[in-house]
Amino acid sequence: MGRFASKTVLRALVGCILSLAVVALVGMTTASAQAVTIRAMMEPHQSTDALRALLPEFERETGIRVILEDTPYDTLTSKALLNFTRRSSDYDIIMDDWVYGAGFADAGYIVPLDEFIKADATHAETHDFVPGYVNAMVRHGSQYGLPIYGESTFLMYRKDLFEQYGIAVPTTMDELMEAARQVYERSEGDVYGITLRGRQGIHNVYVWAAFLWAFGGQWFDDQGRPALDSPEAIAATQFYAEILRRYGPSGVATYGWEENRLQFQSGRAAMTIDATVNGALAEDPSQSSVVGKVGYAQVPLATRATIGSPNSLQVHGLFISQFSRHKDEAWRFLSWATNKMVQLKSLELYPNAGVPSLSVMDSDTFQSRYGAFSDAMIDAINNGNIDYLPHVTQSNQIIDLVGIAVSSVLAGSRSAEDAMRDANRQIVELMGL
Amino acid sequence: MEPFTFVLPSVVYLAAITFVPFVYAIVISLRQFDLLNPMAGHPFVGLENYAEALGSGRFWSSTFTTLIYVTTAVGLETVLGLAIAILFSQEFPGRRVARAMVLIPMMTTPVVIGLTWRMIYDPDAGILNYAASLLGLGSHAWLADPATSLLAVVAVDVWQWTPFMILMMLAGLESLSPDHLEAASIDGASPWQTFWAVMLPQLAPTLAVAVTIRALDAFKTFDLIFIMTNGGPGTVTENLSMYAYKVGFVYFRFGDGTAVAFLFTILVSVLLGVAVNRVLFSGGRNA
Repeated sequence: MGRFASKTVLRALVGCILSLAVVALVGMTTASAQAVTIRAMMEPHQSTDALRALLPEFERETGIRVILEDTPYDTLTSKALLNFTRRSSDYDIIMDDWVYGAGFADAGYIVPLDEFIKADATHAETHDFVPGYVNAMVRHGSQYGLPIYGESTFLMYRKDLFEQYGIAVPTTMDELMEAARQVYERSEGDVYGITLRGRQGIHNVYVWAAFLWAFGGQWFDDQGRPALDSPEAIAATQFYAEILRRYGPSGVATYGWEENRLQFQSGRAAMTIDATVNGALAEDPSQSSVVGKVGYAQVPLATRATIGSPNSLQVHGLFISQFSRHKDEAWRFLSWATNKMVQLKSLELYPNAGVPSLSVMDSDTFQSRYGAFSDAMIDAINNGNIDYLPHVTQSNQIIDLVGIAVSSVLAGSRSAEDAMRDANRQIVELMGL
Repeated sequence: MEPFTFVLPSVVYLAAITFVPFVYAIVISLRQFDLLNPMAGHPFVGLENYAEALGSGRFWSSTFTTLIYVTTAVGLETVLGLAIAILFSQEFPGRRVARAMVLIPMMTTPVVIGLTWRMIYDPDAGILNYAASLLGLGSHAWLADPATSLLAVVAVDVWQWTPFMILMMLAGLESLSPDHLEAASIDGASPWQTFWAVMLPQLAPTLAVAVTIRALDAFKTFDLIFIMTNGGPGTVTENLSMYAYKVGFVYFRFGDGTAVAFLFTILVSVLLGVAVNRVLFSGGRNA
């Protein structure tokens, strides 16, 4: 009986192994018969949709097959990291925010593109990136990615309400507070003075950082030590919480990008500070009730002595994996996807205000669609601060810790001083300083 | 040898999907495993990750949050579930429809529930505050106020999982022997007396099983919190699963994250292991 059993097991095992080998052989022969296939991990975004629509053009021209895989943005970075730690060649190209791209570059997960750019004779003619975007992706003297879309932040305000109440466009933080008060009190609470993102994590930190810089603060001092317990950072946090608690929506502490945008689009709030792409949504008649009523301006300053601008510079790029077996083909795709002709076509197909090409931003299509805010947006980008968010290995954790601190101040459960000192202490600890 | 052959497939399967990852997780938890710092490799650090977790305030505050969440949620679900089950065991018009409808929350995806309730709780557009305003009450930011946010999430858990308790209790009630109830009524026992002295003792084993299963699940709650508050405001609604997730998948520190997950497992095993043993092995016998 025993021998019979072990024989059966053995036979089953041998069978399994044989069939696996056959599958592998078939797979290999079909793979070698085909052209090179490259695979990219992409953010679900208009620019990805446009590239997908234009892909047949590229595939016909080059004979390279490209698979663009949409990955939910919330999990994209961890999926990319897991892929990198396995040293997997599954993905040749990764699309992500440069906030994480910088970490990939430091870890050696993505390759410098300088050699490819040098060898590509037409690169300079076919590419005309917004300087801020492309320069942002230089790390240790090398270019690590090419921009696919980007944004800055600005102040959006209701021209009609400001006129009605005789309010001037705020240029200082005191004026911002006063404008919020005027609207809130004179509309008897019908229109909130301002709405911002309060949901903890990258949401509130993305907007709170505008206040950090506007108050003369910064993430790290000259020695690279976290500086979130500085008087400036504490004052910024205090102000952010105060203006929202006094004149903001009551549920603002749970607002992410979506809720904040909806609140402003529906006309319930007179001002917001958020990403420049929100301009496109505020001017979209199919979803906004404030079309034509919105003015756009730079983020107000609390002091003249700022270290960096309170306008963010966020850029998302395409990167080539260190573990890719088809880096040349990946580069051809990168170069194609970011060149101005493709960018122009993509604007017609799936418009987005974040295109990184200067000539596309000058085009009639762009101007007729986004003319209402394009000047303010271009000013904000040119003025954009690449250190707006931290770019160190531990960025994600730092953003989370500060998000928690800011959220607890907004909720009124801690003082700004306490919360920021505590967050700073934790960041010093995790950076091993 | 033959019985062994029969169980072999399931043994291999179990080993592959539980034992191997389990052992691998132990290995990771004893190493520094930082996805963003590949240069450091994965050096063995002994129990350092565990010591770090136990020394951090956030570990303990999330443990506390977990315990509050589980006790209030499961407590309320048990009381409500039992009450509604007793109601449903009576005859009344529309009973079948009501019994079917009450199960709907349990079958809905937690992510959908979280998103829907976030809208219901919204102080400006939410229906809850609209209803409150009709009653002349002011609006309240349920999820944004640290005093109410945990309770607001617990309320959704109660809304979703009370049906499970109802189902379990109904099954328990239907297996009660009618003789005892009849005897009680002949003896002139009041409904309360019948409930406390006759029904409840007989229901105890069912109750214990239901509470244990529900508690096991409530300990692990992640989706609702992730969608509704992301652990906030501050860390008020951050439970242990949320904390372990953040350390692992937001901070990318797998070693630390796995250590937190293991401490969590130990906590649950200690608290519920005893209960499970008593309920499943001796509790059943006593009944």
